[in-house]
Amino acid sequence: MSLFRFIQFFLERLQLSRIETMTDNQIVAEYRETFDPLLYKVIYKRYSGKVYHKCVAMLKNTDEAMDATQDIFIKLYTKIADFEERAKLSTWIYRVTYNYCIDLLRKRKKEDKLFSSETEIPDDIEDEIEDREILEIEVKKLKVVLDKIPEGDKAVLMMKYQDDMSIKEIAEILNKTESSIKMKLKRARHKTQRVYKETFKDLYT
Amino acid sequence: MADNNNFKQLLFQELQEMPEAPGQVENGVDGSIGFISHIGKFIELYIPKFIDAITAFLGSNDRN
Repeated sequence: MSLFRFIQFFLERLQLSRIETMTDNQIVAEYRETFDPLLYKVIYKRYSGKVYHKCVAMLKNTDEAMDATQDIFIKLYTKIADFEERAKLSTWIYRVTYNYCIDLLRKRKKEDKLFSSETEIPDDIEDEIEDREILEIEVKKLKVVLDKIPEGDKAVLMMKYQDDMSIKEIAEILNKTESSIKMKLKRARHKTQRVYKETFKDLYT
Repeated sequence: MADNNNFKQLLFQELQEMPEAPGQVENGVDGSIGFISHIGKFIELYIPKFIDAITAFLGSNDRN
């Protein structure tokens, strides 16, 4: 390694360790002024894993998830200058991720409904299922159950419980009203509980 | 809502197994971003000159 390359590498490491201590919004603010690619690299390092796992969960295919993650980060790069700092960067990134995956799923499904239809409402829909009942499912079993419910229902549950999005935020992402999101959440909770009981019925006999 | 519910634990476990997206994704992103920024620089550098040339060709004397 030549001396010049060594110095360049050393300065880059120094710069990276400085950036890694910064908050997301500080990085975005500095990026707007300098367009330093190292700043975007740190954003990528922080969020690529989360975006990738969300894509795998939604698309249920690792190759498609890799392509989706790549497209999402290119999209984020072209739009990061428009990011409004009063919002949370993580929420914005997840919003782009969900929108991308939902668009892809809609194209894949074409005429099929992405979200559970009216005919799928269980008879006991009037009974409210508490958050607690869903949140008490063991992690390994939850993964099995989430892979069995429709992607749309899974997306709504992930937005609500994994990313702490408000009903309003979910409604904006899915371009639906807040009341329809509340109903979708209710259906998704019912479906999750039903699939859980069916899959692990030995526990209930 | 619990700060560390089972949905968050699920993501946490997945991140422990694989904290970042696979390497091919990073290479792809780097390549595309490099291409986009080169195109940007090209436009920034040559478009004003091209417009100047068109203006001169059309007979304007304005060369600010």
